[in-house]
Amino acid sequence: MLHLVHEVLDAQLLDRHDQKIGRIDDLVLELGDDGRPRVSAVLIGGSPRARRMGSWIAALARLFGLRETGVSRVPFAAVRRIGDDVALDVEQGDLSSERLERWLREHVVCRVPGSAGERK
Amino acid sequence: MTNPQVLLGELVGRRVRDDEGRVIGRVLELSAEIALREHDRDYVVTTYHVASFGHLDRIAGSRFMQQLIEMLGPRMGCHRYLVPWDIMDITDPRRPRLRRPLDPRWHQGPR
Amino acid sequence: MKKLGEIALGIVTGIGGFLEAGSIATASQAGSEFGFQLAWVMLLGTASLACLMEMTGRLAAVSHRSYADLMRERFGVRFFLLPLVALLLVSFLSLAAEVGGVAITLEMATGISLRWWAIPVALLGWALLWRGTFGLMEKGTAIFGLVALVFAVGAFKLHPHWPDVAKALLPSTPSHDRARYWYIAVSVLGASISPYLYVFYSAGAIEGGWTVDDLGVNRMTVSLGNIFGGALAICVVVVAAMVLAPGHVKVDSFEPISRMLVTPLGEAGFVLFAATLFVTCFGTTLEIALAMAYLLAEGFGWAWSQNLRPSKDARFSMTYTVAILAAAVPIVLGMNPFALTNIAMVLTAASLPVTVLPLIVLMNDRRILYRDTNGWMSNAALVIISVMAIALFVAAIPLQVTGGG
Repeated sequence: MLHLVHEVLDAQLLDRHDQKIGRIDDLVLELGDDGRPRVSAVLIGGSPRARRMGSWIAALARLFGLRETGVSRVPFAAVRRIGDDVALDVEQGDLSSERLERWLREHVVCRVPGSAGERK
Repeated sequence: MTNPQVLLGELVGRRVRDDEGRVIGRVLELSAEIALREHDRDYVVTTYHVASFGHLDRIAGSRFMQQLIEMLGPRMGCHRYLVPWDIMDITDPRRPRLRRPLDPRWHQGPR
Repeated sequence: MKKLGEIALGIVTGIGGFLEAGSIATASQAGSEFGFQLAWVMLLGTASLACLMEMTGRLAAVSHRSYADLMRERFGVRFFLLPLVALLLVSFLSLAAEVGGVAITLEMATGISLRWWAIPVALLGWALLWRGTFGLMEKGTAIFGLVALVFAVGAFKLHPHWPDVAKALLPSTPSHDRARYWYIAVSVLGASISPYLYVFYSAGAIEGGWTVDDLGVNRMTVSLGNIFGGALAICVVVVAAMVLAPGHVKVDSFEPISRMLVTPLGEAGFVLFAATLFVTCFGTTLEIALAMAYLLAEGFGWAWSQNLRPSKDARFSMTYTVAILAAAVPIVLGMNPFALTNIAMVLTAASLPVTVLPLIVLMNDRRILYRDTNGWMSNAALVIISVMAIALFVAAIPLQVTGGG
């Protein structure tokens, strides 16, 4: 038995290497032929998040150029484990919701000295 | 992929009406379980938890207020119904409604 | 032995960590205008902070999840927006005030305007965050923070009538200037109950890998650290009351406060004050910038840890980078750090309900805390703090208008 709101929605997501890759911003339920809802996908990204924050936040987000292209839709079949966190069988590098992280890493952070290597 | 899809975020917290249009509470939780099919394992919804907050319904809009009211318990006049999946019509997630009259057996009683 | 070390570190952190631009400014205002009379508010603020920190620390130790993490997960993203926006706003104002506090000590030391110092201070703070680990930062600010003990020395050398100080620890109402009295009371509470502290503290518990076994350490550090920190803050009130109140010195900048310790300690008092303000404000600058990054990263599920290299948590490290650099801007533009401090403290007080009320639900949830949910005493404390928080929310802005100027 799984509680979708309590245990799944808003849960921390991990990728294949247990790296943090955002939270479950929404879940897609697909109604089967018999009308029975089945959990079909996980949505990660700014625009599903904004949609849940209420209609005028969503409108504001669209106004500021938040687009659906930054959203990742991961099939629920890719879930490896559900516990305190939800682990997915995906690569962080493949997710469009992680584009900002990659862009910042490559274009900003890595150009500053002391950004990589081991910490003392 | 032609099957209708519903976002959980759209559904949670919405007021649920019975077959005659009376508000019976708000969608609080969905229970799901694994249904073994031929090829893949799917989580399918089994039960909707609908919570009625009585006269506090007006302030029970956020999940924080809902949990606070539930925590304070039955004295606040709140109770839960466990509605089987086939009774609930969620094709319009903003207006979930029951297909049949409310069954007293679904009542969870004061926790 | 390890635990003793942790408790000792916690106490040392409490000594220096409690004082910063906000608490030094508000405590001095309290002392200079109302003598010892507002000492009870300091006590109330410290006790409230101790309770809240104990709870968020317990939450982190038992559930291995931080405060911000649970706020998002338990109440959903829509509710989370409320504490998120409130915390970012008041934290940013406080951060700017702390950067201003550091800059002003450099102005005192060099004569060069504080507006020139804001950017170098922000850059130095950023460099430490970029290169340093959590433990290094924690220990560094704790040990240098010990310089704040000069306020205790100062208070004792002034030979106040201690029974009067003790009497002031009980609540009393003023005989004059009611609006001003309550305005300062609100600022004092805003300065002591800083929400960034419990965001930071619970994230620190996660960074330190706390478990249920650390609950004792949590309780000891929080109570002892806050007793020492609160006592020191009351010493600031005492010094201000003994030195500034007789001459009716109105405290509306850091200038009169900076000479406060000269009376008991001679010229060294000025240097020691500047050192205290520098070290405590600088330490707090680092803490607030990190707290803002923790809040966003935990709430949105980004990779975060002060022990990772920035390339492993780009969004997290860019958050504190942007926050600390942006905080220098109001100072560069010539905003008065003291005025900024006052506004930040009042708004902090007003923001408390959104960060405190959710704890009522979290701390009583057996699915999170198992056997370590709040007992009746903690719950009673939490309810009292919540009622106070709501009162502060209602009263803060009107009091800013009537008693602020």
